[in-house]
Amino acid sequence: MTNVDEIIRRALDTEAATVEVRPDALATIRAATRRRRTRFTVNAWIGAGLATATAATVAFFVLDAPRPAPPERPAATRPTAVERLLAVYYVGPDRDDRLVREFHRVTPASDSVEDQARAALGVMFGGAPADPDYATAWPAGIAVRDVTVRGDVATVRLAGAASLTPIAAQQLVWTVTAIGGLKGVRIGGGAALRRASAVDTLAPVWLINPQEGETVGPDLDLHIAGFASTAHVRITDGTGRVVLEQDVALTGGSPAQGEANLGVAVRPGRYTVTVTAGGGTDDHSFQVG
Amino acid sequence: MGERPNTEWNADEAVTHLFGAHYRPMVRLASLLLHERGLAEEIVQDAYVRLHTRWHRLRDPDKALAYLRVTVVNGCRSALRHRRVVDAHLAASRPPPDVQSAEAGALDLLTQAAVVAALRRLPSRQREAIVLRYYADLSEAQMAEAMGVSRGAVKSHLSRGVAALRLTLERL
Repeated sequence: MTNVDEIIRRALDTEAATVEVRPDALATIRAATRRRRTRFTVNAWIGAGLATATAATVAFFVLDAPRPAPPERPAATRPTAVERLLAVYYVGPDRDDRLVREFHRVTPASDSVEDQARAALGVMFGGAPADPDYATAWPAGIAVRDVTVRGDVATVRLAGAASLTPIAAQQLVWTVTAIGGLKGVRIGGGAALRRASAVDTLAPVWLINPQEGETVGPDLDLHIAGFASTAHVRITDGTGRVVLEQDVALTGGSPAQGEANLGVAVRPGRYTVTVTAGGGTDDHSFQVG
Repeated sequence: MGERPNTEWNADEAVTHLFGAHYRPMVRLASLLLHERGLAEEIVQDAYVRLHTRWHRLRDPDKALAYLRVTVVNGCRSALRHRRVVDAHLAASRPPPDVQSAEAGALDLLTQAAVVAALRRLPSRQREAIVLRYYADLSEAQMAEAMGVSRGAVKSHLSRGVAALRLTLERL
């Protein structure tokens, strides 16, 4: 392999490693396949010319069907405000110098990159993390005064800013650059900052799905990320009884996080899933129902 | 579910397995082709929905993976065609990135940024060839299938793309 080959390969791998996927992706796909199946069923009934298919029957299927899929327009160019799932970073769960990620449903004023950044920072500075083990590295009383974007660098102006620790700066940088198209962040009049290396910044392990406090279906999709080859997974029910305990292999990895998906069928109830890897632990409580 | 031969999966099971194995790399591949993450993920999700419909004809994870790749590459190419006019205007008004590193290895970051920026300036087919070769690590035959062109065309697109990127690197 030539040096150029190696440089291209490394550049693409590094760039690709910055791309995160939405935690509800599989649920979104399943919802879409269910919609297709429902539409197909209705079409088949009507197409077969069933003499007994009264107007009331057809109306029942149409009304009962989930709402249609949104139009296939590029997300970044939608002109109106829509609810989005935005990544917000915090420190935790068991140390205050490593970042973890949560996804929060917010409705930015518009779908512009600036408004998405304002919305994500609004959650970071004004809201609380869903997981009580997470926290912000910023002091209370900080507000976002303005966000502007030039090229792929956002400039964030804050009101009430105190002295800036490196992990607080990275919390803001990782949150803002999780929005598509942004690579750097200038805080006030400072130099533009990029994401520091993942292995030095992110928690050793975290649970991507389910999120803390979430209500999920009985076909649970565990999604785990961490800097290790394997993660230990334990699920306990509301009484503390262990319903699943096993190791899973994390694929991908160095220098990015490895990830694993694990499908588990569980009965309705309250559960806690705990993952341990690379010397770190993360746990989320959730409802199946 | 895991013990059954994968040719016996129903469409839901196939999507679940293929999601776990390939979803994230597919989104990353689409993001490299598009440079727009939200849209990249929508295109990949749409590919999985189409796969669900088509599973009864594929019945094979390898064929399904090839089908996903073709659908994602075609979806990205189509999205780029729609976006080209807007991008041309934005590119003309967008200043070069002015980013300093907050960590060691600034030179590596500069090289990476230059390669990624140059990749975006390549014609679609050359960009596809570069991403499928260097990120997805596909063979020429697999690339030809994913791009819907001959192996000879793959070689041509790839060598032109690499030459353009080499030129960029020599200017650093």
